[in-house]
Amino acid sequence: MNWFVFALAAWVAFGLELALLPIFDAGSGGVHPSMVVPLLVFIAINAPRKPTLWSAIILGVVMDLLSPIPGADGGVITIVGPHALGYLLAVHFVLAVRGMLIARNPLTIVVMSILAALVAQVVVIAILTVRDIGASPLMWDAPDELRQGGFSALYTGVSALLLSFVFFALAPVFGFHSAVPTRFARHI
Amino acid sequence: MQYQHPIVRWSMPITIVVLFVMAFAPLRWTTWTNWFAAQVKVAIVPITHPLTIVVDTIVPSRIADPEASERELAITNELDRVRLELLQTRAENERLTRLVDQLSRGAAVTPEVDVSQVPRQRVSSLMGDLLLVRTGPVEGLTRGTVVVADAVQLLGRVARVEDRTATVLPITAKASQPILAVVLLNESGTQQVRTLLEPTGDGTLRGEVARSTGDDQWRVRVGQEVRLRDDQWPRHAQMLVVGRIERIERDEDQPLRQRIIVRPTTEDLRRVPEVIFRIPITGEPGGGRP
Repeated sequence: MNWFVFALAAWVAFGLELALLPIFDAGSGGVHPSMVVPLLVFIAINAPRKPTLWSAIILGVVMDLLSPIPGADGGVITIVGPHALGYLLAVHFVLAVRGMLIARNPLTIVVMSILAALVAQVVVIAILTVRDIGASPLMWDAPDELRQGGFSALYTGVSALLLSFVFFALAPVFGFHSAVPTRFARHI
Repeated sequence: MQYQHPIVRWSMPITIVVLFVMAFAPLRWTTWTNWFAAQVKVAIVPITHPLTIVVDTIVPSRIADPEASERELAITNELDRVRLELLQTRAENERLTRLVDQLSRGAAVTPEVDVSQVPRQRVSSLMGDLLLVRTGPVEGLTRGTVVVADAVQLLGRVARVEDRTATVLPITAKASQPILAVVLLNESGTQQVRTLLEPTGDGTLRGEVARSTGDDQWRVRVGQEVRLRDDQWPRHAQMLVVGRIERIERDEDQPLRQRIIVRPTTEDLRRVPEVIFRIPITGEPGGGRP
């Protein structure tokens, strides 16, 4: 995988995610599509295993650094780890099933993005909820976050559909030279 | 099988363990990550800022009166400023009356505070409805500094200050603390009713007010102005505009109380192009001046 192209794509994906955040907000606060998860899913479907896992960690750590959590004292708290671990588990899931997927189909990216976003959100919420037990400085409402995370995952399907065409067009420059084993055919 | 150096082989498990430890480590052990967060924001701004400008151009943030000319808007802003001064003077008058009362009983006195206003550009939004503002070096800018938009519209408070940027938590963000405010029942603001406003998460604030039992003239109505009156906020922030009552709902469980939904005069506080920091001037060398 071409890491320079990955870095550029990630930079644009984060830029889009933050710039479009207030526009695509679904009106209930916190429900918005992810631009980063479809990129991660695209990489997980096409790239070899190890670069995929490292991509998940890198994107997750950046997401953690860009997602400060409001604290009870009026400040914000940056916790590194929840998104990184969430994305890692999400790509693990994609890697586990990618042999059965049609890689160059937009619907594959859509469905896997929804599921991957859901897995990542569940991990993030679980970690932060465990952290929140006892005297916590976080402003954290787990049921509300879970509701937002669920709807955001569904909403991510929309962004995944649009981005999938961009990703397919950019696939050659990513330089994937993987031999992904498929279930019903020879290596793709 | 291809030989891998132990560092390469163990790098992934070690990274996962480190991430686990950091995810659950006490906050005082992970404060060094703030430096990395600041660097990531600096790296991401060159792409988010142009995209934010493009997005704001294509989908402009709605303003109070879209048909008003520039001159009308300037006059309205000036009127708002004068009105704020009037209400602040009135609030100050009340405070001084109370203070005289307290002084007579030997209570402590807080010195008067002057404020400098520092306008800065919003560069982008962050997760959790936070705003990222490019600040540069601003003396006196600290966590808790009051932030306004459109001269008198209360926007929120600074949640974190970094070398080049500041993170602002708007009053409408779900994680914001509830604020005490007053509804101005008449134009001059002499009749007021207090309410505790909580953010709903959709850009509005919700609070309850006691239903008027006396004069029907002093009823809570849609469109009435709501202003800050909360001792948890600095004195110079008192009477800043929180918003206007968008709708009034009945609470079946409490028939003697009405639920009001307040929307800031700026449609979406997360999309203001420019914010103004209100920094108290302390008069000490090196403090409180932009």
